[in-house]
Amino acid sequence: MHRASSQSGSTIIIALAFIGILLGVGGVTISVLQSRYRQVHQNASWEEALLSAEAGIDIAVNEMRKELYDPTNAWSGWSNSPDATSTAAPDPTTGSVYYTSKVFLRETEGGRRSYARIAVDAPSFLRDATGEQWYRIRSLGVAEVPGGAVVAGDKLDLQLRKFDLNVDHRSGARVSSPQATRLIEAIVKPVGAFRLALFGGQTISLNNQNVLVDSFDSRDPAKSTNGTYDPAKRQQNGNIATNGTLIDAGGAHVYGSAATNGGTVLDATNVTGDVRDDFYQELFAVNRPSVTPDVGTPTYVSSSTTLDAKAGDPAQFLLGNVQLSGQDTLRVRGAADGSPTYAQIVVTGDISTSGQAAIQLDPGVNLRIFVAGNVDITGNGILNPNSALNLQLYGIDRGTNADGSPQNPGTVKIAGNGGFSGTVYAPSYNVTMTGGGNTDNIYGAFVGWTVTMTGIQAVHYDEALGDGGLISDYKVVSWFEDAR
Amino acid sequence: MNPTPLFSRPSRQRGWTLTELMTAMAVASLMTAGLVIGTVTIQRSFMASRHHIEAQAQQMRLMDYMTLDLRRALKVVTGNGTLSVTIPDYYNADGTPRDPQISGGQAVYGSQPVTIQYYKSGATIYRCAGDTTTALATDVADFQLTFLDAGQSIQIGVTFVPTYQFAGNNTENVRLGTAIYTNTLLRNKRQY
Repeated sequence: MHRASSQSGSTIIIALAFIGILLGVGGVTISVLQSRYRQVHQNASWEEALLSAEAGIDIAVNEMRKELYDPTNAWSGWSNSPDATSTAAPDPTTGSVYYTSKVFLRETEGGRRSYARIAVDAPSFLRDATGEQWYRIRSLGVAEVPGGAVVAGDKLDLQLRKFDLNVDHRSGARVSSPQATRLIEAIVKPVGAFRLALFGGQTISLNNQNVLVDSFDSRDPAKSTNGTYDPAKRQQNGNIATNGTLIDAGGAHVYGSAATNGGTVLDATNVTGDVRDDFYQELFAVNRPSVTPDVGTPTYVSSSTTLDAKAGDPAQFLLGNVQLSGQDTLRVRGAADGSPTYAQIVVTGDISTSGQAAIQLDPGVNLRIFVAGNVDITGNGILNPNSALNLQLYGIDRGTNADGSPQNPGTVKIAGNGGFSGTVYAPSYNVTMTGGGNTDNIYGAFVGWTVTMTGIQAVHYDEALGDGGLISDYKVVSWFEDAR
Repeated sequence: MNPTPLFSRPSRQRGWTLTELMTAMAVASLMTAGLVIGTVTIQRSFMASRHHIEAQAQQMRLMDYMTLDLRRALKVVTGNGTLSVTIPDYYNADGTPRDPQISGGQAVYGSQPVTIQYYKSGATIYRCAGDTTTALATDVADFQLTFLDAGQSIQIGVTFVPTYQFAGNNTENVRLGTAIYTNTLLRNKRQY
């Protein structure tokens, strides 16, 4: 029993030693695993912060679109101050506006809250040559980090993925809980109404295999000659699309893509680009502008008449009808030196030209016509020596049915001796272009409820048109993550 | 005559017989050998797992660095396992963001876009931005970077050879098992 006593002491010591070793090994293992586990969650939060930041960009762009389609509710819930204490009406063109998104809860393992803090401004240096205002969005995505304020990962990981465990690394302010943040700056520009060569709200029909649609870019010497169309420099962005389900390409030569909204493109043999069925683009209703006509201007045009455009703010005209026949000419006179001048005509009735009659623009004239009635252009048509963007014809909204179709669609018919250079935006009108036996060259872009081309015609879409006309949308043109 | 106690042990039985000793030593040797082999195996397994985990962490780091730059890229060039990305000149000399200007229908930051290159040299993968070169992953001789240029999106692949292999010398097969790919959409319109 004496020897047994001494041996039992050794056993306890050895057992304790083994237990200590096992605990040590287990502790180190758990520590390593916990660090890796924490790093995984922190990395996931870092990725989540990017998603939140990008969601913030989408939220801001959506408010800009509301200015076009739902202006009453645009910027609702936004504030002129970051802490939302300002009660002034938010307007990015007068200063930065701020918004904090709703909180998203990531309902996964280690899930935490994430949200975006967004600031939008419209500084003067983001006003383009045409006077259109661009916007700057700064969206900070914030994702809370699970696992406490403990650093995990290598030094190089932490140089890339910065975490605010105690202090906001951008502002220096203390944070209430550990978080990952990512900051994106996006520049958003307005997009004009003429982004496609042909755009039909319901259908597009090209009934002749001799119809041709292609593009050029008047801004680029490699894609045009002296700013005009050159068949040797033809581009393949003469895209046609519909929000409906049918394009009858009619074997026409389309140097671009043809897209429907879940529909079919018939006779697409000569479509050089993609044939897609995933297209949809919002069509905004054209409201009749509030016009105070300049003193002494006519109220009807039924014989040869001259209207003077002017520099700066456009000259305003309010006409009941424009009905020209025989040798009649409606001249929109510009500056003698061809410098830019502007005019806006609102026609409450119809516009028609026949015989040798014409609507003629002087060099440098920029003309916008808003028409409530029908348009029938034949004879010499509209003579526009300028870019197609200098002549913009808008069909005023004619009411909408529950299914989105126009209640009483109007008609825009363009025929005549060719050379038409202009743009038509009339989503509640049926737009028809009629060609003859020889190629009739048309320069511009056409938007209607239906768009139909007959005869032998060629539509040459100037890609510069995408930046002009009434604003129909906004798009992100610059995206940068500030990874400081 | 005193009776012999039933459980009393003769004095000569207090030691071990040679057979007992040999048996005990054999058993002990086997147990020790097993313990050593087990320990070594566990250690090797642990090291292999650790290598795998660290390699995966390096994979993720490389991916995150490259996708960060690709998202904001203006220009991208891939080839020979090298990725070259040009991003806007967003920062002033003092590190603060600069205001963009409208030029050619685009928003332009500064006049000197920054080119960043990712490449492997020896057992290290570097990120070189201007005059600053950073080693992003070290001891990665077995890493391979692949790039697939799909126009407005770029696919990156990063593979390595794990320590434990079950395919003999055919490292390409086991490399496939470690491959991670990511497709990154270039947020800016690509200038080439």
